[in-house]
Amino acid sequence: MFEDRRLLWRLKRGDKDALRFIYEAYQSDLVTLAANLLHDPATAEDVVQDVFIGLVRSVPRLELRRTLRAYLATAVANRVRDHYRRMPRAAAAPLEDAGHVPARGDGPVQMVIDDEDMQKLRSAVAGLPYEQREVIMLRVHTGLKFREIAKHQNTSIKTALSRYQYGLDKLRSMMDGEVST
Amino acid sequence: MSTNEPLESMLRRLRYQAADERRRKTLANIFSAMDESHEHAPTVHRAQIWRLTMNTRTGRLALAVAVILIVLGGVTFWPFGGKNGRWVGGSLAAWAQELQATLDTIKAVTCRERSVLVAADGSQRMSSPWDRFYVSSDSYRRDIYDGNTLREIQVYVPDGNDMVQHYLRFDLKCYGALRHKGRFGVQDPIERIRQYAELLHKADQFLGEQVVDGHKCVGFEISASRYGSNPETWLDRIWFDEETRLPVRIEESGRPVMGDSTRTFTTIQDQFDYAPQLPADSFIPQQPPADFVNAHPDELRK
Repeated sequence: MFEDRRLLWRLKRGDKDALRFIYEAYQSDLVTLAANLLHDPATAEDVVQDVFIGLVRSVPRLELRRTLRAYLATAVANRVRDHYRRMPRAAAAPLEDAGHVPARGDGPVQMVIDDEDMQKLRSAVAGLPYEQREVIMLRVHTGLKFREIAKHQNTSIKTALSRYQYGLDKLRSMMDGEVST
Repeated sequence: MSTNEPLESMLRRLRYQAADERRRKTLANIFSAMDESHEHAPTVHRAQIWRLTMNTRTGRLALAVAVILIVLGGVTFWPFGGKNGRWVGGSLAAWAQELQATLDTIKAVTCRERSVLVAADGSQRMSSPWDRFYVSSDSYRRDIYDGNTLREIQVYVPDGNDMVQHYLRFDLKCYGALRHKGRFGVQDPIERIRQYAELLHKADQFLGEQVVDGHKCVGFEISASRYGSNPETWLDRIWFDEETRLPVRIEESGRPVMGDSTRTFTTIQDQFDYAPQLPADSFIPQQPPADFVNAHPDELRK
């Protein structure tokens, strides 16, 4: 938290190195978060850019009451919600074409299996109710605490935890072919 | 699932990465937004102030008085903060509040204070005497050393609204007590840190990171003119431990030497211990040895 405040202090003074540091430190997680919520990598990158532009514009008035990571992650989640509100029926670009990080497989066969599994998982995530998907992605990709996620979703910690658990259960079922995606 | 990998682990691998070109473009766009933000904000602000001022008779009159004061009286006018012309606030103010709260919990502190004389040509000489301060919630002790030799112990104990200074001079073999109005004042390290906490949002310069006495620190520079009628040469630098957020080193440089305009001096407070294990009698004036006389040091020097 102290490091975040120091970075913000530098940002308030127009220090571009601080801005570059913040961007490099968080952009990967934020793009991942947005892409998993939107299923549209190009829009996800736009969302992350908008969040950073919003940060530099609001920085003179910004009072950091939580970590910078939590601030940026919830800002991304809010922008994604705005995007859905504006374009509820927007067609998402296929995630297969996205610049996702390659599977980790050890050999050619394992790599194919991994790719299949990850592809299944992507589809399964896309089929989750939005609130569950959001809890899971905020938790897994930005490390937000359930307390912070609950605050963002304007709900109780218990509900956030339940959404996380239900979401995981549903993903397991989908991956095992029990539920149609 | 074809693998036995835990689901959460698989989810963590569900990552996306913007292409290098896209990242560069995004960063360039963010930098542009930052430039625009910094270019426009003060202009709009000043334009608004100008409109507010010039649209009222009182405003015009106040502006005229301010201009006269600045031109004739040499009043320094800093509506937008420090040297960089930017107002610093926000998180730093919150940090200052935390610092004040932490200081409230500290029961005792010890530190060393040394002085360095700086000649006009920039040459420096560390003075031989140095102090070690011991501060509790209501009592103070100052051990004055000359090199490695303990020269004097001063113990300040509260007495009503005043403080009584008990001194024991080993070099002059004398002891005595003096009454002082009020508290220990600016020599109290805790009070000094409190003062800096209040001034932190007005810091003139952020000194960046530096390892000080083995601690990873961040430093701030504050002009002493911000808290008193002090010369512009007088600058305070405070180095805060990034972990504890408490000062590790405080330097006051460019302080004037009375009656000698060619030299300045720098005081350095370091070796802070915010949780010292002090003997119970640390703040109780010591009994002087039998051969010591009750006298003021000035009387013995005559």
